[in-house]
Amino acid sequence: MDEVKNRYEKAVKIIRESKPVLSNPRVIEDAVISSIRDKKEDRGMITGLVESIYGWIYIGWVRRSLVGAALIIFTVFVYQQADILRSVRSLEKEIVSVRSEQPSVNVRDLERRLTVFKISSKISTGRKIEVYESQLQEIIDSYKNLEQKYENLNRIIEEDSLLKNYFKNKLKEEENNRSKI
Amino acid sequence: MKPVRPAILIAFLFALSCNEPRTVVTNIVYKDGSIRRKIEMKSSENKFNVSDLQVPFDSTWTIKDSLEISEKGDTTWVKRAEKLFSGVVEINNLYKADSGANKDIKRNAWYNKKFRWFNTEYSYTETVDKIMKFGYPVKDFLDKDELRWFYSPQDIIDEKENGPDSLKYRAYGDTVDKKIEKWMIKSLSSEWIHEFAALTSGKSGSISLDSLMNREADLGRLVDKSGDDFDSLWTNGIILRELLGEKTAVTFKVEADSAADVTLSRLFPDFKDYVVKTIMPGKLTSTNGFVDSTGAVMWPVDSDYFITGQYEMVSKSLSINIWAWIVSGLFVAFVITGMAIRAKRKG
Repeated sequence: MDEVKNRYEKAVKIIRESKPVLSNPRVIEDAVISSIRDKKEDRGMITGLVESIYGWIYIGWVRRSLVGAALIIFTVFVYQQADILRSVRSLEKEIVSVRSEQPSVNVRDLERRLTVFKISSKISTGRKIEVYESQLQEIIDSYKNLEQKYENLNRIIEEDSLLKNYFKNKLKEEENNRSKI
Repeated sequence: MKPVRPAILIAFLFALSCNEPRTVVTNIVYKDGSIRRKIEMKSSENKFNVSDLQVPFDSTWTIKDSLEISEKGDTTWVKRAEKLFSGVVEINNLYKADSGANKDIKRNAWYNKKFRWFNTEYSYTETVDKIMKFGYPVKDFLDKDELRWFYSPQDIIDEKENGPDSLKYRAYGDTVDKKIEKWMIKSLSSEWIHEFAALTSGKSGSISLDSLMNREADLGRLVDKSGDDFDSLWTNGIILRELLGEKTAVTFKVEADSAADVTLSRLFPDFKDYVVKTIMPGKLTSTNGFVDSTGAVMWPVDSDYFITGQYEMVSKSLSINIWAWIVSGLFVAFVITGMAIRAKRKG
């Protein structure tokens, strides 16, 4: 056992004492130095870039101008958006539902009176059956009244499904009776 | 009482009921200023004569005819015309060449686009020129809410007057109607006076315009007071005698009648109502029309609206410039970073 141990220790001693032989130690030395220098240069380039981009922070008038421009842009943005929001909100309040999308007749009293005058001055005198103006006014009023009542009735029927069905059936019946005749 | 020929009645009832074809014009406005215009005309008869149409179109449009039969069995003929215009100039040229029912009324379309950095604003306007030369603006007689009521489509008014709070709305409607009548009478008086003064100017015994204008209120009062008898009171010269005096009324009866004819033609022009709808690009921001839930804006075009002042149908919208938001955001972030670096180095 002692002999084996002695051999091992001798071998370790020989390995420890034998130094590696460098063929060109100068090259390794240069490579290490160059690598350390590159790292320093990289750091220097980034700092340089930042310095060149943000160099304006050291120039008073440029710094003030850029900050001013940024504030103006921000203010314009806030003002525009607030204005738009206000307009859109006020529009949303005014949304209406228009049913017919069609203009309906709205005859004002003055229009009615003056239209009679306007038309009477234009119509040529040919064969004529005379009616009194009061009678004419009465007919026009009745027409307007009837039109209003018809619209109201139509609306009531449209809004009530039972009533609508009732009229629908009645109309169908009438149509059938007519075709039978 | 003066008898009136029944033909008048027929003509008047015809004028009341004949608003056919019922027409809706829809303008779809695009960001580049081009406009797709769609016209929908509905009629109970398959008659779409050019002279009856409210809005012009020609053979270069895509035209489709169809038929709708209601539950009641009523037949409605529908004509749809559509065309893409490169800009408002083409639409205005079309209006100029109009030979339809509203050819005497001057209409125009306007488009404007404004770059506002974060957004681009678009505005589309259709205008109808005023008819009377010497009438008063309706806004001098009605407040903001009353004007809204005045310009409202009839079915919105009907809905209010027949719905909840009907009594309140009917009373309000009556008040507005009275004010409108006052406006019409005043405008009619002013217009007649100017026309009459122009026709009698330089003739012996004529009354100067200034002197006639001093009697404007009197004429208004006489028209208002005459009520349903206006026709007979005017024809018999009673109103004129009260206004101008016996001698002048007799001397200038022909001129007075001509001026009245011109004035009434302007107050009640030969115009067929229709509806204009506009769909704007981007988000709708303001309009003087009626907005529905789809974002489309609607205006009824009624002759009352442009008697004494230009009727403007304005809608404005905007679209967001995403690139401007990004550029501005980056710039602000750049400045903030710079200031943070400075603070750090100082600190």
